[in-house]
Amino acid sequence: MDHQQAAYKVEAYELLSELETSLLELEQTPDNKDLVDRVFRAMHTIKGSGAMFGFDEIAAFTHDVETVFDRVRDGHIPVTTHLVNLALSARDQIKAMLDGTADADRGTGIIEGFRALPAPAADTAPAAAAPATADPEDRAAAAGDEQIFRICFAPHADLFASGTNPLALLDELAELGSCRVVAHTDRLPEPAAFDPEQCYLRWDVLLSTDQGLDAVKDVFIFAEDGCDLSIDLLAQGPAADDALPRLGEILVARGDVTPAMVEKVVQEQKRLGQLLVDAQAVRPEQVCAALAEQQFLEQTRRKCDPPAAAASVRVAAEKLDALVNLVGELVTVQARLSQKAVTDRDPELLAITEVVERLTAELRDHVLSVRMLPIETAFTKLRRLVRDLSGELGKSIELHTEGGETELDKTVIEQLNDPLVHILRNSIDHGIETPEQRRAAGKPPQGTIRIQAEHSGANVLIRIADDGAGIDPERIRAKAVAKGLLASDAEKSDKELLQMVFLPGFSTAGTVTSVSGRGVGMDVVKRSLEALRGGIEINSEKDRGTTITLKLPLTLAIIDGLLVQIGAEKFVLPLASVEACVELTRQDVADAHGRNILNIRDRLVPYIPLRERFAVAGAPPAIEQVVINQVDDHQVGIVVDRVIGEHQIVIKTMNTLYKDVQEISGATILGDGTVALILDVQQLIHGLDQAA
Amino acid sequence: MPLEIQTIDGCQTVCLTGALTVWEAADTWCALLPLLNSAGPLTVDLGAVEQCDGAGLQIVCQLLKAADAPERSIALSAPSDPLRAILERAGITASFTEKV
Repeated sequence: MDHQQAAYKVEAYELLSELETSLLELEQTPDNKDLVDRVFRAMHTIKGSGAMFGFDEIAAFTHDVETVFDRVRDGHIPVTTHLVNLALSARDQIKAMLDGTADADRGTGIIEGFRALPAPAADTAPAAAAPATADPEDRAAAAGDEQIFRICFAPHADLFASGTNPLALLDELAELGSCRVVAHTDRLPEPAAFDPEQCYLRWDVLLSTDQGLDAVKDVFIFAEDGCDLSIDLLAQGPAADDALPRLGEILVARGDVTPAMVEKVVQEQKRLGQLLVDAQAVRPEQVCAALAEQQFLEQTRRKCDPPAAAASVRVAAEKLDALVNLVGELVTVQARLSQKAVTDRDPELLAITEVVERLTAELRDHVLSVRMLPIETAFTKLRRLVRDLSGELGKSIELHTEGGETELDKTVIEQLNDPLVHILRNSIDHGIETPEQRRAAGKPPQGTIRIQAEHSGANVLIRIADDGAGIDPERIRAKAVAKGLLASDAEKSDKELLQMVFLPGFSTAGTVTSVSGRGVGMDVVKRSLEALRGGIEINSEKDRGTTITLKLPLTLAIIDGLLVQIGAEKFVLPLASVEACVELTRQDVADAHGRNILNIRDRLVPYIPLRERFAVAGAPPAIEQVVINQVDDHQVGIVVDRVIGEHQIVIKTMNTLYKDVQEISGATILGDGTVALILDVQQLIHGLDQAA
Repeated sequence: MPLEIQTIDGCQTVCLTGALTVWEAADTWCALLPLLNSAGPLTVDLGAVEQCDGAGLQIVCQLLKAADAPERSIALSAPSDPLRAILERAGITASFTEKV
């Protein structure tokens, strides 16, 4: 596969994702003409680019779907759930074709479904069926009147490089109606300077068509970035004569005369305003006012023109990853430089180091922000899942999402998809009851699943809450005992019992369905999240519903950390959870009577003596430091010998030998080449809870 | 696109055959340029062009410009039917010598 075909596939996958979102939105708001246009354009691009890059089967398949949506656009076919179902199936089929896993019979079935949609009766097509539009362009397009457009199409020199053949576009225009094509060869250079792989020709096309402006624009839909294009409506309908262009305009447009020449000739005769003033038909100020009005209208029209497409560049994910790695190395070197400057006490070097430090931090933030994606991209896929699964299981479920704009590292989002799907499948299959069961339980027949995403320090929390049947702890106990995972007389709290759903091979579902209940889901979910340095919590109330909270780190690459020291060992605390640093004297310890509690501004804050916890040899200094961390709405102190200061930390994963060391989430290389371990404060606290 | 060049009585005739698209355009132009720069009379036979895209069309336009230049004796013989249709659709008006 050449790189153009690979690029087509990348673009097509993106378009399919967009298409799915648009279709699901369209189902909710069937009158939304913009969404219909979006669906049509996505199909049109998939088809057009497919044909261009040798995906003929995709082009042929998409053509039929596009045709139907063209009729939807014209108001001849209404948007119904059936239409959306068909279009979603078509979207899946195109994806399967791209993946090389398509079933041809399924494709035929989908196309037959589209063809079975009611055909527009040409003579009785109700004008009222077309959505009423106030926009002049839309009005022109919907009217079905003959319109004359002047299309000035000037390809950029590199048009051929994108695989576009301008003649194919001219042919497409000719299919819309009657065409008058005028080629301009004025940009052709002298033979010696002529590069046949650059495009020099340009065209003016006069097109008389009843297909409307949208159809004309669609011809250039995937060439518009590679050309200068203007499409002007010259005349429309029976009053076309009134709008015929003036002779000078035609001559200029055809390139027969320059605007300057026309201007010069026109200048030699008196202007209309002057003639009218001379004839005493109007006063000079009336002409001035009319000219001002004309100018205003022109300015307003310019302002209303859609802004140029946002400049963006498609970059391969591997290149971004490589960039992040390089920034990581840079951060490490910068730390060495800073250390050297401090050691040498060289003021000039220190000043330079500060600038380098600031620039490195900015560079790091920018590079990482490039990799950040809104979590909405993951939510979008879930909408389809909820729609399809609830239909399949005969349940009525509404999905609410909040905080879709919350950004997460690209890698985290990619790896989040499978856990989210598992959790949602469980909610739909086992959580939400059937409408009958819900009515019997006094609940509304429609179930609700809420997905919320929000920032919490250096983490993002995602809560998936359903209002279904909840999890019965006693059923978990029975199941665990039956599977030999729990002794029949073991005492476990409801919270502990709930945690058992994360055990490998555990499933509480009475029947194994195709949707979930194979007992692998929650185990896999937990492991996937732990691999992301995240965590999962489950809360459930019988008959009220279940809430699952996922905790994910914002990024997996570089963080700001607080470097601390105990004896000769250095550790890093993620700065995002650090609230303050306070001193801990021997007197404070004595005042607490052996309890690890500190009074800070009249609040009792528990602390963990890290020297003791990690069994670091030696005696602590007379005055220790307590780093106060905010964890899950609680303040917890970590006692260290010395706080060294803030550092940018490039996270390095630990060898698998250390995978069971819960309190350490990774390591980093410091400026002097030594290694500092990164503390997982939450796990430290969790470990303390368990020990208690 | 292979070029067939014949020289009869000091008059060169070059025949373009097959496809004249962006894939062949650079090579074709490289072969044509020295012929266009040579002093003797030249006839370009377009009767065997089967396929032509925007890039090929530009070469035809360059040939038409060269044929129009009074200082050179360059003639274009009648284009093939596919090429004639393409020229028409692309809005290129030109006169050709009939093939004998």
